[in-house]
Amino acid sequence: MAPPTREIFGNILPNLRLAFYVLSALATLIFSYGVFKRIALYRAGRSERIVGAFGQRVMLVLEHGLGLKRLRRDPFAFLMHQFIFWGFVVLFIGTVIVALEHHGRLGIYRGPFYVAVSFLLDLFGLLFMIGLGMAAYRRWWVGRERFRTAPEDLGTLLLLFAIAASGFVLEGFRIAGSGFPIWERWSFVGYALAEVFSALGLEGPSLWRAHLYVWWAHAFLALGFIALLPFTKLLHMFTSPANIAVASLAPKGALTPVSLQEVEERGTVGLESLHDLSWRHRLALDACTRCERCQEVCPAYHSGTPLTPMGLVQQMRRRLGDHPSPDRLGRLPGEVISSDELWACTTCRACVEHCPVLIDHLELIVGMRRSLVAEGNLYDASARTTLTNIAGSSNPWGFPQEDRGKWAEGLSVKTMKEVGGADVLFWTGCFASYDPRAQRIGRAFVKVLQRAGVDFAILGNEERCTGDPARRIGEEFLFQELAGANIETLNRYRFDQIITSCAHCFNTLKNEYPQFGGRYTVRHHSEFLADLVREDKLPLKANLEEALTYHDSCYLGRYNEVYDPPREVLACLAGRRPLEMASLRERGLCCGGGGGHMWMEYKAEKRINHMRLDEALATKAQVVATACPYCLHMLEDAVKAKDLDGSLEVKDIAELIVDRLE
Amino acid sequence: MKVLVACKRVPDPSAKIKVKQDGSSIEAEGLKFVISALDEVAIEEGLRMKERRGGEVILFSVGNVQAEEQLRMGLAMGADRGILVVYEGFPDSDLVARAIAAIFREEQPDLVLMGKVSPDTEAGQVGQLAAEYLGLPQATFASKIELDADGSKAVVTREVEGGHERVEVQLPAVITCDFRLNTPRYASVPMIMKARAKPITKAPLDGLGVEAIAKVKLRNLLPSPQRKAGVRVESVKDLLRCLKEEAKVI
Amino acid sequence: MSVGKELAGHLHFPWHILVMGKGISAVAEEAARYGASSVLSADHELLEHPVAQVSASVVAQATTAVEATFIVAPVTPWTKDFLPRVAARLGAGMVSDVVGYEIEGNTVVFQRTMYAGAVNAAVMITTAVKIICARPTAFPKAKPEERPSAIVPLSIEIDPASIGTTFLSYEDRPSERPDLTEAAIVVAGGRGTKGREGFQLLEELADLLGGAVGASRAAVDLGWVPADLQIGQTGKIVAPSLYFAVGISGAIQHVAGMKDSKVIVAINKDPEAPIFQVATYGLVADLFAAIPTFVEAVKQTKEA
Repeated sequence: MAPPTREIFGNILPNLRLAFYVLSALATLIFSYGVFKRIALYRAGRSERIVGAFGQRVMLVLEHGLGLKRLRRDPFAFLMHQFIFWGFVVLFIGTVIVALEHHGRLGIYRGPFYVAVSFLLDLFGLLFMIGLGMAAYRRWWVGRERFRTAPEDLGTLLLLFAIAASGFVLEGFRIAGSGFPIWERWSFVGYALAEVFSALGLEGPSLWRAHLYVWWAHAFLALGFIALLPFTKLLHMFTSPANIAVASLAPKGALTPVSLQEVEERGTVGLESLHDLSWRHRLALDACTRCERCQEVCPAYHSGTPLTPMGLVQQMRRRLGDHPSPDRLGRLPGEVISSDELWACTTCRACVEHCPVLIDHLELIVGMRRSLVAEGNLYDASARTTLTNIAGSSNPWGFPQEDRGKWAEGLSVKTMKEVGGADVLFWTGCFASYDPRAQRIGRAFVKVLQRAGVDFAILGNEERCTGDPARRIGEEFLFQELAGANIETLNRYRFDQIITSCAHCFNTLKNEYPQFGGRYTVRHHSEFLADLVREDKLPLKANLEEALTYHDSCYLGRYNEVYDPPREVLACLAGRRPLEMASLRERGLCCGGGGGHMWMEYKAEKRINHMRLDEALATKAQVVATACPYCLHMLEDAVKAKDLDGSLEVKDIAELIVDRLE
Repeated sequence: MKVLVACKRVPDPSAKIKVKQDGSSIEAEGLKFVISALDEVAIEEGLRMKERRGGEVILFSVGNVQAEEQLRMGLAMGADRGILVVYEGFPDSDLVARAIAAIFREEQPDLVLMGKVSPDTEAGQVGQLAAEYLGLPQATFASKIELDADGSKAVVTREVEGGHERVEVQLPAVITCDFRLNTPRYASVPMIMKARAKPITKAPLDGLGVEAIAKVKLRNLLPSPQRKAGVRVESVKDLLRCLKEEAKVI
Repeated sequence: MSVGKELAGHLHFPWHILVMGKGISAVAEEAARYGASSVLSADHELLEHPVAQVSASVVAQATTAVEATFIVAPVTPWTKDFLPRVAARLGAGMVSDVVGYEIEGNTVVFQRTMYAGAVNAAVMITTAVKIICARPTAFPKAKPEERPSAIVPLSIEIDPASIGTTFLSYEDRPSERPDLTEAAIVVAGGRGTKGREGFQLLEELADLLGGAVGASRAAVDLGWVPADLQIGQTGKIVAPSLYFAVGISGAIQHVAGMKDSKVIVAINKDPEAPIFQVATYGLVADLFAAIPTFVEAVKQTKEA
């Protein structure tokens, strides 16, 4: 008996085959042209060096590109994309095998190999179509309110679906036309279709004619797919893994510094025009698949501001497409993206954290902010006052620098100036230094440290603002000035580690000061407290009565992945784990104070801190525990605005501990 | 439109001011200096006029060489050039006014702008003195300036007791500015860098033909009595007594 | 006037009062009751809404007419506007905002403040003619005397063509109260006021003291007062001589907006409120009882 196999190009006469090859060549040419244009667009961008770390990058592509790490929480979407992806891959491999078999005359496409491949092709083809169906269901049924759909979203789905469907139909025709060979039962979809066609009375010449038409349709669709690929979001097949591969390997919380020298050479600061977008930025814009996950988790979007991270990326992409050559420039901040959108961002990083293809929206936003500020386009009077105060008095409110250490008076706290060194340097931060409410955090933490017998000292009035607000608002050089001054001060003293009770100070000291030569071991006070608790250095009274919930700070959680230590501390205090709000950990909802918002008059429809407080209220907790003075203030503000002072308290972890010390 | 604008170097208003032991001056060591806030308003107004009508914004300052720092900040905001009349010491208002008059005669601007008062000496006389020396009309405490089409006159809204007054001044004139006039733009570090290329001419006082006579002399300075912080009063009567007798604010 | 009178007394100089304006005979007669050597009355069309050059001209002419060596005036927007022109015209040194003086031998040493009240300066005027602008609240009011002064009309010579300034119009401020950022006294309310009722009490106090009304962000957010009353880092920054923080807890964003006030009074039910840490005087009390009592007390002292 003849071994299982199939005839390739069976129904297609030589001259038609030639026509097919010509069309293929044409499609390939168009594809190449498209890809070429795209690459030229990238190369027209600013040059940018990326750090090697080849192994790490391969892992990233495997993790995110193949493993879809960021889709794990959404099993439906995860399966959907895996079906589509692997379906496509297998079908593609199948096509390659067929092509090789036909042209290379390898003679492998027969026997058990043939049967196995045929089965897999049918299985994955079916999964492919199921995946596409899931995608359609997700976008046009479940998410019909939510998704903003462009024609290309529908077009690409239909195209892929049609290619697969026509492929199966062809298989059905072929199987029916070649007399239902038994091994073709393994091509179960095709076989089933063949039976349907047979039942419909299609056979012989009419069958083969139908086959021919469908074959051409399939060919056109497939070649059309190839040709159109670089011009539609289908390009993400290449750009997304490429973007993942070139992702920044710097710590998450570190914004890229700009050197004054660079500014002198380029003449611009930040992202002033499309010309300033590097090849990596341009590639990132192309990697976007319009999945809207960034938008879904964006607090600015949900509070009614004009900002949506996906909208930002798409606008820039479109504009870039319109102006490929550097001569026709568009002013990015102000023209392509409105300053309203740029100032609406709280730099919470939810967008970056949830993007499946690792686009860094924040880099784009801050880049544009830097350009705005460099041109003096900072019209928020409060932000300007804050920057002027930071420049003049090294704190956002303009209090005298000499009063910075006064919060510690009467607490027997040593200053580094007095002792020259200690095990721990407690970095107080502007809030705990000057704000009466936040000073309680500092004092509480000091009491805890003393109780635990920790050898520590503070910088007192030698400490200056870390510069985080300046950097987030986009006044990069003011930040660098402060960083330089602080590092100089820090380098004068001996200490093993820096502990700070502010999430912003923590992030900046840990992740950004190394950019300027300040390399220290930096920990957040919640981490340190967790250690102390674990080591039984803090005798705590019996369990806390009130129900606690914990608010994840963006700069502590998403930025630095410190989710568990605060929870451990709270669990010890309460004798049970704290209640969790609806948006927790990586999905934590911002308090609304970051990105300079604490210092701006920005008004939106809804208040982000109110939204977060609503989540806290839903847990029925009586106390909201925070780990950052910004969060403390924003949430307390919300409590006051809703007149809930009596029923809900907001307290820092240090305060909660000190209340329960034996 | 040529506008001459003041750019005075003053200590940062949020800094703690200390008086030297001998009472001769304040302790400048460790103090941060800025442009007088009302002069920034004046500079902003000058810049807006330039943006609307073209022309030049020239900054001036009378003081020690360090005042160049503040002129640079003003240039960073967008002014075209600066003139520093070097004078070591503390010029009285009259001296500054005469220096301005000398600069005016050389530069022949259409308008002289400055803050109505500066936060250090708080005299508030310079603009008016200069106007009289030059025989020019003046409009003080301006909260709105409307130039007419050909730039020969300006209608100025002035903040006076109980309300506001509108006057029309022939240009050239001296106008001193109130906070309500505008919100000055922000000068970022890159803008300051770009401003390094702009010229600042230094002119000694005698080079301008101005005699260094002081009409008001400082005998000595004393720190003001520190107000007591954090006194808890028991009753309303107590409070009123403290406010009347101790603090003397009612 | 009391400054002029006293100073003249110390220096054994005659002193004259200059009254300027249009239709001022009644004012001149009032001024004649204070014991000056004479009252110069300058009554002129152009003095109805005088511009700086006109006022300066009149004062200069009056000074020359009586050969005065000291010119004394209260600090007001009007005098601040034109007196320096007199100084330039007469080659006189001028000291503004004088809060005190001492006579040392032949010279008078004047006291004034600088650097937002942080520094007291003792200054002397070196010229023959001296101009002093005195802060009214720093000196006692003049008392009328028995012997009336003679009223001497002053003839004014002004060439209208030489004046480059024309008065156009005057408008009263829409609110009786001073502008928040310029007021010497500010009464601000927060959540403790519980709404309009509380704010009405504060408004009464502000009006009594001639001050402005402000609010914390919380009060604005809750819709009790318009947003332009908000004081704070993200609102208005004020530095009055006297600031009342009533029912305001003292969140740092608010404190940042008023920390440079000379005297801060905090009235709050909560003794732990952070505002007490920045207040000069703190009263732990219910504002609904304290404010009305305070208002009454102030009224009584004003009547005395």
